[in-house]
Amino acid sequence: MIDWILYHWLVRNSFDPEALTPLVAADPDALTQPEGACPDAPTQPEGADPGALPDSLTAPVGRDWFGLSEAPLRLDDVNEFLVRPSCGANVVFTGTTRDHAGNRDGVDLLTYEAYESAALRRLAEVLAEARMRWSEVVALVAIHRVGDVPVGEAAVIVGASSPHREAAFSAAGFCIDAVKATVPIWKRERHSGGADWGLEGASLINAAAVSNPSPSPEIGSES
Amino acid sequence: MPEVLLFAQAREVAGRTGIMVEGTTVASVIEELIERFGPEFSDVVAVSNVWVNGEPAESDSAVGVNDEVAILPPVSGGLE
Repeated sequence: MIDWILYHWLVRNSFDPEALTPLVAADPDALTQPEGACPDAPTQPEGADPGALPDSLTAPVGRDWFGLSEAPLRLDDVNEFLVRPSCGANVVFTGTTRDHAGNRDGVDLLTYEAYESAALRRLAEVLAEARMRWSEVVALVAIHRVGDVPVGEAAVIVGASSPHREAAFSAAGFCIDAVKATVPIWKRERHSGGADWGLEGASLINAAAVSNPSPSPEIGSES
Repeated sequence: MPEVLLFAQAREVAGRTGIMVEGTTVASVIEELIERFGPEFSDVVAVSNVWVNGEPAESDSAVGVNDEVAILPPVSGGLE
């Protein structure tokens, strides 16, 4: 919670010369340094706005933010969390609920069900694995909606920030692949012909077994 | 008695989210569940993962009275 509050403070006070010190003081080499060189949030909790956090979404822990939420996921909150003075690259993927699946049309509502305690642990493992593979990454996000989600809303958001874009793209790509492959969350689609669980079930694997994302996904790939 | 958590299709077929059953191994717990919920449940279990206390387990894994057994049907992943 504290770090989350601090980021709100940072955003509100971004024109404060004190808050800008890390940027002003940075030399061109600073951006090429690994994650250890990236300063975390300032340490002043004034101006905190805890109410900005959806009730059911747990607060970020340090530079990791993972969680499950019955409330809508807010892209602005994710961006605020990811943006750091040391990072020039912020990659965010939003998976939104869609009105069709395969040949099935008329999907109007999706319901996500989670094995909550295990899902939270698995989400944490996804971020830990991403951090291990791309050490330059600074902040990481993996948050998932649960319960009823109308078509067009965000069901999942993952994101990564890093000094340069390669690590952020790779880590974010890995995170969405790994969330889908490793976290016990099920999707039920309500459509014109009834309601069904997702079309293509897969067995859960662990994060270490998820491949690195390919640099350029094949156009039209359905996976 | 171990507590069994049922998700997605397993929950729907059983008509409940969880149940306490006898059993000292994953296999014996599953056997008890199939006995109770029938062949349709058996079909779901056949394609599901079984976890004990939040971690993947094998059919011969031991299950204690305070353990949590979870039946996890295939995840739908999504196509997006």
